[in-house]
Amino acid sequence: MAAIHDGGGDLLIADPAAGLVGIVRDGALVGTLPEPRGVSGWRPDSIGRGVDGTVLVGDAGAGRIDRFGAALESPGDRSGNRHGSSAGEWRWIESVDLGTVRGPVSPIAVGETRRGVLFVDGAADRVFEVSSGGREGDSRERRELDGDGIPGGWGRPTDLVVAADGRIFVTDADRHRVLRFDAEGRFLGAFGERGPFPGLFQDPVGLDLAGDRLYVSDRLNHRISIFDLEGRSRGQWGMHAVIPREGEGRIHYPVDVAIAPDAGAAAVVEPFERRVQLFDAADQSDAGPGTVAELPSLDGVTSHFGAGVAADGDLVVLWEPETAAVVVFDWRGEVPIHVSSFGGPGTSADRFGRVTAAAVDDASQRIALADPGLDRLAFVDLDRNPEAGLRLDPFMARTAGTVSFERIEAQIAALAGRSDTPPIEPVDLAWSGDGGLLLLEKRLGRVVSLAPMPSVREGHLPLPSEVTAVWGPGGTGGGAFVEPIAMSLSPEGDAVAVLDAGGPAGPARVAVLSLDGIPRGGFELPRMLHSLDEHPIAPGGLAWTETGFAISDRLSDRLMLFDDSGVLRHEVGTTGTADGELWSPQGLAIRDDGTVVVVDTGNHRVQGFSADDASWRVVFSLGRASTRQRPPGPPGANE
Amino acid sequence: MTSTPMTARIRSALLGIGVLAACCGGCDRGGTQRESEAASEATSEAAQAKAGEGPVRPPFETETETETAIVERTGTTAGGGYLVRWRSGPDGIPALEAFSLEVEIEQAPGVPLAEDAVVLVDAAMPHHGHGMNFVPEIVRVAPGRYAVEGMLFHMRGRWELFVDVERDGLLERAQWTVELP
Repeated sequence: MAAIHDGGGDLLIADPAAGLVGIVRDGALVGTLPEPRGVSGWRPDSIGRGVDGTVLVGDAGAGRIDRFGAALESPGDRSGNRHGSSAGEWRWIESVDLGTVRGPVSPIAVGETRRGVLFVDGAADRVFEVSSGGREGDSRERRELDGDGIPGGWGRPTDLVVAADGRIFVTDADRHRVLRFDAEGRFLGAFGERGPFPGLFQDPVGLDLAGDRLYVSDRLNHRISIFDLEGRSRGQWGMHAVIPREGEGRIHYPVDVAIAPDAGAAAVVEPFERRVQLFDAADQSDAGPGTVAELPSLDGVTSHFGAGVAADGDLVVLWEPETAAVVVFDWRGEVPIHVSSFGGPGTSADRFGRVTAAAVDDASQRIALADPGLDRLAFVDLDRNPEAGLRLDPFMARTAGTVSFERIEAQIAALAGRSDTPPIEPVDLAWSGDGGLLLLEKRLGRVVSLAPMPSVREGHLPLPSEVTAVWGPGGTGGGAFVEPIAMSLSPEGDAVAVLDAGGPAGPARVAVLSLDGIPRGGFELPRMLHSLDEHPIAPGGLAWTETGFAISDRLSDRLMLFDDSGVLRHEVGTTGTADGELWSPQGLAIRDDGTVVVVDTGNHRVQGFSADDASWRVVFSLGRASTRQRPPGPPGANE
Repeated sequence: MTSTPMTARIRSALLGIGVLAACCGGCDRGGTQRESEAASEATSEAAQAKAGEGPVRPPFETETETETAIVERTGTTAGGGYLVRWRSGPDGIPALEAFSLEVEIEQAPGVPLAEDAVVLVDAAMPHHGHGMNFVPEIVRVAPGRYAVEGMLFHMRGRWELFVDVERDGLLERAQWTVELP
């Protein structure tokens, strides 16, 4: 999601889930931008200011940017106005020619200078400029913004704005900074680094500009930070929501901010809470909005877990993005017990940037972690006696080593006979036996198989550092998953299932392959959950159980159980915070006792359900676990 | 030559503070050598019990050191790629004073580490959530041999000492426990 103030008093909100750009005026939705001509399944997810009062809207999945402008006054003009907005205020003008394209592009942020359209390409972690002008029919020139001189190189650019003097500002979320470029696109400098204190960032992902002030949505610090155009901190506002759904001006994982030109109004986009909060100038102070009543007491299980989970034997592994830490539970008893935490922010081998996936092997006591924030896989061995009593042990985790993404990318390119390959972004991992590792990669849309080099010394476990195969739904011969989400090994460990959301055209499907990439079948998910008024499915996680497959739906807040052939057997969960209720469930894992472990990300906890009948079994987080399901109480009782 | 410039900057003492907030109850601070050997033995037994289920990993080292004796240790990186030996200076490993190490690394039996490898030496107290306050200087003095200056354990207790070896995007770590009574 993203938002901007259009300069005319309206707030425009790009909502990919709804497939529209909403027009909000005085706090109410009054209309939508018309859909681009000839497009179906439009999923606008970025929006920015074009020149001459136009608005640019990006659809990352479709790889397109569209321009909208004020509707012409001529009553005969109907170009592009299929749905129209309120009072015909907007019209679709054009689909922006993105110039000479090498490979798919994924515009996740858009803007425009006098030279042309700027966009952040989420598929390449780069910023490009497409020149304007030239003769009609000529292909536009596309050039990359000069990254020479950026300390450490590009991290993960996520948003951009253009100042009145042409200077360009880009948020670099993985490096926790904002990059500055001159009007010619040459790098000037950067400001910010990781941390919770004023002037520091933790995952700055959104950006807006009003006058000479930059506003940064600092996602993991849960606030809006303000800087001048030289990068000097000028303040911040927003208080972290103490409990989910709190609202009332408390901010929770903001991904974008939209400031009115006079800074008299602001909108904070919080897809985690499925809302946009509106603030006026009085709210934009360190004191927060209005007076703060007594803080609600926290009585529940809450940990700020990431979206994924790994489980094998008695071990369960999760991570916490805000502390860049990995947490280990031992589940040999009735409930999982927290036995170790390790990591933290930093760049040394035992630190993490942004973990996106994990895999654990109980037999070898080794954990694999994908860390695109530091562009590497990390491997950690547990010095753990499975027979000893349970206790929190800070020495349990011992870093075994790391494998850089650069090494893996070079090997992938060599296998394909190419000179390079896009930077990889793993979304899931799975140990495949004999020390091998499967990596599900988002940009290639393929599974990468890694094997360990032969051990130089006996009795050790070499790290999986050698790419042996790359395969898609059609095997090694070709084909790519459209929008890979998760994968899961079969209970026997001899096959792998990959969950593919299918992109805007859909449908989502589960593909089943052997461990060396030979297709074995699969099935399509239903497009809609008929039980929920045709609510489209947005799959978040996958687990292969003894009786079929468990899939989480992060938008309808359901856990679905399918049999082996894809017939829906059970669905469980309703939107809420009570035990058994879910909010944006994502990563799944399956335990030997048939418990489907579900990361209930929106409720900051993990829940367990039976793979047989979807009955509720357990809820846990750091410091608390329970197998006694509390019934839903009055609002706030279970938060 | 592989080197890390001596950096006099003070590292943040708050490294990872949010990670291990309540760890002291789990600390086995001041463990004796006998307890350490028993722990190593138990881990080894557990590892042996898993034989047949997958590769067996050698037990992790946990030994008590004294301040004044020369300290020598040998170990293998976790993936088995490198054999690492380190040796302190004649003053051993003191608390609250800078000390030096000599490190020798083999990439294969009898084969010194290649020149293009990067070697890092560091240490931390995981239960306290901090590392050293200084970055040591590491200088390659001969094939596979490195001089490490500027190590400093600024408090007594259990330290974990790491040697990281990186080549071609693959990093492996060897780790030892050093306890300063």
